[in-house]
Amino acid sequence: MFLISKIGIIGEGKMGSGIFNYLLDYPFELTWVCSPQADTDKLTRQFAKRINRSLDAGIIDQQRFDSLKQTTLTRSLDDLKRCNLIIEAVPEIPQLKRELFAGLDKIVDPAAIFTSNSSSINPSRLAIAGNSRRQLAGLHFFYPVALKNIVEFTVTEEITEETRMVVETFLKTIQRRFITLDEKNSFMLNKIFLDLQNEAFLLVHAGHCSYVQMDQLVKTHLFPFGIFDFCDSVGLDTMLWSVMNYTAQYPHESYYSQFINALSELVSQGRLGMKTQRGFHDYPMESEVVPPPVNALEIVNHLRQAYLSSAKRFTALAHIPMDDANHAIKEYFNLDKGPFE
Amino acid sequence: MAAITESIRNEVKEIVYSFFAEECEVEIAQINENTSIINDLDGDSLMFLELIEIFKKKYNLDIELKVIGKYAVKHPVTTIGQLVDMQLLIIEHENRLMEIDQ
Repeated sequence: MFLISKIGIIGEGKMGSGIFNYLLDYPFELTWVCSPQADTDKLTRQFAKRINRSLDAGIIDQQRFDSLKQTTLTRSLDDLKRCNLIIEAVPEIPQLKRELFAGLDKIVDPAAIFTSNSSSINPSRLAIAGNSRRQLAGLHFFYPVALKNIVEFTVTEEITEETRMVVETFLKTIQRRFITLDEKNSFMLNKIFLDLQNEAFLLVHAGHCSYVQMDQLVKTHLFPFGIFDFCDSVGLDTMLWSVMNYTAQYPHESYYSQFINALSELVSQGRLGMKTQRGFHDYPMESEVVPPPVNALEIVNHLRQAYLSSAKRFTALAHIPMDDANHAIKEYFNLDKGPFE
Repeated sequence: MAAITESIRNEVKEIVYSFFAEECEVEIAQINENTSIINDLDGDSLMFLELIEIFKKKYNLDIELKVIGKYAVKHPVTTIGQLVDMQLLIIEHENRLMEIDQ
């Protein structure tokens, strides 16, 4: 079994940069490939300043500083030639990811493992002629990468035992707990949350409360963040892509259709969430607390039941040990207690 | 649990201001407590994490990132002034940060 030593990270969005910065704390040789639009000069300057500050503050020693200076920040995929693990974190567009992997296939060592940080596209959908599915996998990190100690490792049917072991060893080296999912049960954590989003939306849509009231109730009784705050912070265009990708695999797709229609409508109006200052909410938000709806308790109980039953169903389908499921769900939702504790 | 003196307060403020001036390539004079980290400085959470590492080392703090993450979800930081205040709370309370709310 070979060990990962040289890693290529592709994409300078919040996941790409988060993964790159997280991996800097581990002894790998990193190459970070940014898009043609990225200001790599600025990123390179920032990186140099950062490692200088770390050396000055005594966070790293001279030896580590010298090795970090070997890090490559580039716009060229050719610089990934010597990498034995690729982690792509480019926008959530299947064709873009497929073309990327097809191009890399001609550049990178044939033994290299290609992984995708996609939050909704299964790895085998990224395989095209010339790519070997055996060396493809999903490595779904969560934002913020430094704080969320959970990765969804999605394996294709064709993955070899060696590739599986190499990736697992890599995840243990970087001190990330992981759950292994097959492609039928991939993106389990987002799917649990999708059920909650859908239930919350249906309650608002039926007139039981407003979006603001719902988020306040959820923050007070269930999770540290509001459901619609979360959607707005992810971006409603990204949400829409993801939800459509998940539900396309479901036999009961129509259950989500009202939520999908609402997301489509908001996106077509240019209400993409926090990045456009408008989404389910308008930003900056009023800080005043609105009175809870009359049936607040029923709403909270309904959502709690939806959360528990969804967590139970997806955990059983994916055959995830209870302890791992508790940990994963706690990390994802930022909770002190898992659903099965 | 460290007591926050005027000197620590000033030192933290100076480190935060210098950090953002260097990282975001602006003059220190352009930064004040109401400066928005994202909108005015184009800053991000990675900068916040690096600052925590610097303070952890400087004040020998026993603080897990997870604890800070949980606190930050409940008390989001958007301005430089809020960031300085949160760093002071971290120095003061370390891993008992969440107990402030109880």
